[in-house]
Amino acid sequence: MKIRLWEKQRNLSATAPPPRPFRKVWGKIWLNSYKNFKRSSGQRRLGVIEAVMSDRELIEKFLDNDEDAFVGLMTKYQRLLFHTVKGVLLNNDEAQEITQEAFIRAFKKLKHLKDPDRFRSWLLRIALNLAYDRIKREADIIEFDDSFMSPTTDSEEKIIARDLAEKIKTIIGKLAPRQRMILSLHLFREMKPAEIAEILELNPATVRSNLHFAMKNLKETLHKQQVI
Amino acid sequence: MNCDEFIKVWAGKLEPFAKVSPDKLHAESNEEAEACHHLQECRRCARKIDTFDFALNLIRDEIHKEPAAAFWHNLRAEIKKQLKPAPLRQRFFSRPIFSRPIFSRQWQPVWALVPVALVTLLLLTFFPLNLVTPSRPDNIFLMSGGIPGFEYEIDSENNLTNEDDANSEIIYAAIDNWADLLAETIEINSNS
Repeated sequence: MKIRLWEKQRNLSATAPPPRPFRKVWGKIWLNSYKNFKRSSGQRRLGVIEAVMSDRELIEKFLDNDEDAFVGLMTKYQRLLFHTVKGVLLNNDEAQEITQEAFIRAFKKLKHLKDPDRFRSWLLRIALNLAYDRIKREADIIEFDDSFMSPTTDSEEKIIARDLAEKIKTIIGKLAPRQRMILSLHLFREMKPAEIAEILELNPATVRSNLHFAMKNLKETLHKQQVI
Repeated sequence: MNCDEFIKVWAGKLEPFAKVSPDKLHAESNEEAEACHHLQECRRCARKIDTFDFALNLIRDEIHKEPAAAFWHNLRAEIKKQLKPAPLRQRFFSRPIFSRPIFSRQWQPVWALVPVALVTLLLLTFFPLNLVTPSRPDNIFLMSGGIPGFEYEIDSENNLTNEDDANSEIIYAAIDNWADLLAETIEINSNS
């Protein structure tokens, strides 16, 4: 039988880790729960950090399940997406649906995005492809909002311009889907052909020719109808 | 150039004439230069183009109108809902424990702390923690002349087996009661 003599108590305790201070441990737990409470209360606004972050950083944070990054990406692009789609479809409800669908698709496929710095173009492409499909599939069904151009009591010039705007919308609605999309982006979102080509992944020359024919078609139709 | 010819030239232009600089216009075809001159002279055509641009601006204004304030909130909430469970779902331990007032009737995670606290209290009552005192060994040996931390071998009768340990001696062994050990130590000390 082997025995080992006891060493002094202070030597034994020297090897054991020091106890964690009570205040430190519970302080951290309390702080975390307080942060979560603030976050869940819905009163938290987008912080400066999220607003100035690049798309790459926001996407990396989003993929790490960071909810702030989700809010950051939404806040950054929701208006751009909605107004662009609305410009193409000229319909509020349709634009809302497509915007929602586009965001959901984008967030679900975000991990497959190769170049996060091109998130903006990629997101717009998703939305415009959805809008394009909608136009193609339901070309005859989509009707422009009656409330889209709200009537106002204005000068005669404005009334004439509003009538003309209605006719422009009708003519654009009858164009071929691709021409309609390109022309809408150019006229209503004031995008350059090169930018449209990048977003839609088309040849710039194709965009330019489509734009030229669509514009000519629009103006000549208006002239034929003796509107202008 | 008459008005019809002007409209034909204007129809093929992507940018409004007003945005084209005169220098650029001179460098372009004669047809466009003539159209520009026609526009400066013909008020009717100028008015038509102004009305067209005005109509486009009306549509642009309408497109850029902000939707109702609730729209963005609802959109965000709807997307969040659709994206569940991954990747936005919060992990169990990161869920807020004070998401509602403590006394609200709806379930909230902070309530889970109540049974945990009760069970902990019960356990502490029946099995008090004794973190400072080390557990007792089965056999205790009181020894003189030993070196702390050194291992000694003993036989079944509690004698040291190694001859090198001539200076060491087991004084008392196999004590179950600490009080006995204390009494024995005091007795040995008083004898010596």
